[in-house]
Amino acid sequence: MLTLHYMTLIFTLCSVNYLAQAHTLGDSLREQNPDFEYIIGLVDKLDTKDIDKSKLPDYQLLEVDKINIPDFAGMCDRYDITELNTAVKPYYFDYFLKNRPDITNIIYFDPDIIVFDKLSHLTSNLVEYNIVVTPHITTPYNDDKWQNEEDVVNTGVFNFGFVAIKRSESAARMIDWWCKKLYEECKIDLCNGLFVDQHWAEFFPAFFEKVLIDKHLGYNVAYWNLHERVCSLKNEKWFINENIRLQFFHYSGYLIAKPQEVSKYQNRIDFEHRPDIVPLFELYKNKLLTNNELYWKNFKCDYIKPKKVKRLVRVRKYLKLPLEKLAQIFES
Amino acid sequence: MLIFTVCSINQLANAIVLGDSVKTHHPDYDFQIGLVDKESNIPSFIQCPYPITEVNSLNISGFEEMSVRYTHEEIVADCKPFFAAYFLQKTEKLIFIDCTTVVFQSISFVTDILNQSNIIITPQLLFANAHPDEKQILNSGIYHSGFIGLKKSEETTKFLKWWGNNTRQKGFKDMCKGLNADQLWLEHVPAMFDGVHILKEAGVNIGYWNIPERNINQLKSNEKLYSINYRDRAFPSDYREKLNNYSHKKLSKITPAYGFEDPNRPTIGKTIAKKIRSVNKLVDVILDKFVS
Repeated sequence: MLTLHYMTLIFTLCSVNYLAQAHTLGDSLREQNPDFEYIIGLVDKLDTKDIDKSKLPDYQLLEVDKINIPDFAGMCDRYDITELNTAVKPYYFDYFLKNRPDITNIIYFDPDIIVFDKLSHLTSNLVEYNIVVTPHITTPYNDDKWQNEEDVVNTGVFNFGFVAIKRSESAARMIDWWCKKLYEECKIDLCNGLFVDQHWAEFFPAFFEKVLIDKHLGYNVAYWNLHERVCSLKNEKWFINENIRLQFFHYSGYLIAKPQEVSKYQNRIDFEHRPDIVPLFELYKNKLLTNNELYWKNFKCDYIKPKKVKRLVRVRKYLKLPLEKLAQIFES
Repeated sequence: MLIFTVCSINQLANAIVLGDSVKTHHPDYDFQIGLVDKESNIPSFIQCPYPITEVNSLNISGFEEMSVRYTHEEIVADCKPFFAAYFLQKTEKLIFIDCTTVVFQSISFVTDILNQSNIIITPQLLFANAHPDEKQILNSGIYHSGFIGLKKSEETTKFLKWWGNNTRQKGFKDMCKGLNADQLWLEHVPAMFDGVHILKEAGVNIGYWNIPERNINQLKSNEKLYSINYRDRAFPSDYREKLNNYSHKKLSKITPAYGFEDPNRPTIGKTIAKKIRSVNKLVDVILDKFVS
């Protein structure tokens, strides 16, 4: 019998301080999806640091300066560390598309994700679709807590802790366009419509063909959608709303240093009212500790820039005063 | 089949011209106007050939607060979900079209799409790399709220209820907070509701936001030019002529009864002030160089 076997590559992106998370994601993939190749894209340098090699995770590491990003120095100069970390995402896709002809599907996961199931639902969707994205929410919040529906609009309705593509003309065009956008406009500037890589992805369904907005409730479960998803454990398997298999959980904004908080980015979900998620976070904490989170977290990323200090503040103010006065006259 | 628009009296001539263009190609469709204004303020010199539904007759809960909190422009946009729910009681299929639009040929293909879907929304842009500043569109909305198709269904009712709740409470134009009256809420629609069709038809709802990527002459010669929306730009002369048949100049001066004048509306003074301040930014550029 003829069986088509599509090769799938999964990658994540982080700096050395997040290697425990990337390690944990890798372990979950190895357990659930051993056929998939896993690569940690490192937005950092290894050889500048005094690293205990025995603690390095047993996965391929691909440093960002090895993937030939055109004018990478310019990007480092423009972007702060958050912006840089997200701006390189499409460039990694581009690198894999061009340098790994054996690979058909490429999946990105944020490092703070654990995969809980065999990703066959996803790979079968990638037979039909070119691009798969996940929405933050599939039902309204109906409350006034943080983050709310307009915050989600402002930063992007799709969460870009996950995106999957199939090698195709449409996906290649998407990656090309996305690289172009993130070269200069991977900023956090909400008043001008910019929120790193994520907000740009809002265009995917309008610009490209066969984009699946996957509403499967087991995908990308995180603080932003726990209002519509209840977790339960049955026979050592995790389920959402009783009978939907949990595919992957995203521990966005969770800090081991503040284990009583679900996420630093929100105030809707807490452990007291949501005992169902407590074991999922216990599990995560333990895995991170086993994977040396306390060791890795203190490494400083090579791409962090010193903060710009604005000097001569008073001189600036006085030099601007005459024209500012004039502007005020015209305004009134 | 019913097509409707929403406006205040100052845009009534636009709405009538839209109605005329709809009726030219669809004499069998109903065309109705939702009026966010007082019908009694319509001057007697104008006879509107299309049925008008006054916003007061909808009994929108919280409308008085909306009128105090929103600008004229915001409140017209924010009443759209309520008018849509009202008109859907009278018809199986409904299309909303911005009052500043002219329809150029039959749009019956839209009603065909509604056989298979509940909600049709229209992207502002369809082609990557064509608009000179794509982030402006990202900021104001992937989807444009000037052309929407709806089918009577439970899902559509759910959608309109949710949309109306948001436009009632958070229908401001404040892009820094992710708000753009009725429009930015549409970002959630494909993820939140079932049977959503994203209409990728280059000849529909052409406006200043997508002119860089649309070739009107080519669309015309391919018989694919469906509608142009003249919103927020100087009207071309052929459109102005049509408007003048309905006393547009006089009507446009009538202050709407609901909402207030937008204090942020650009004036000449504000534009000059902005230019002056941009000169002042050079001080920073020069000093930054000097310091480093």
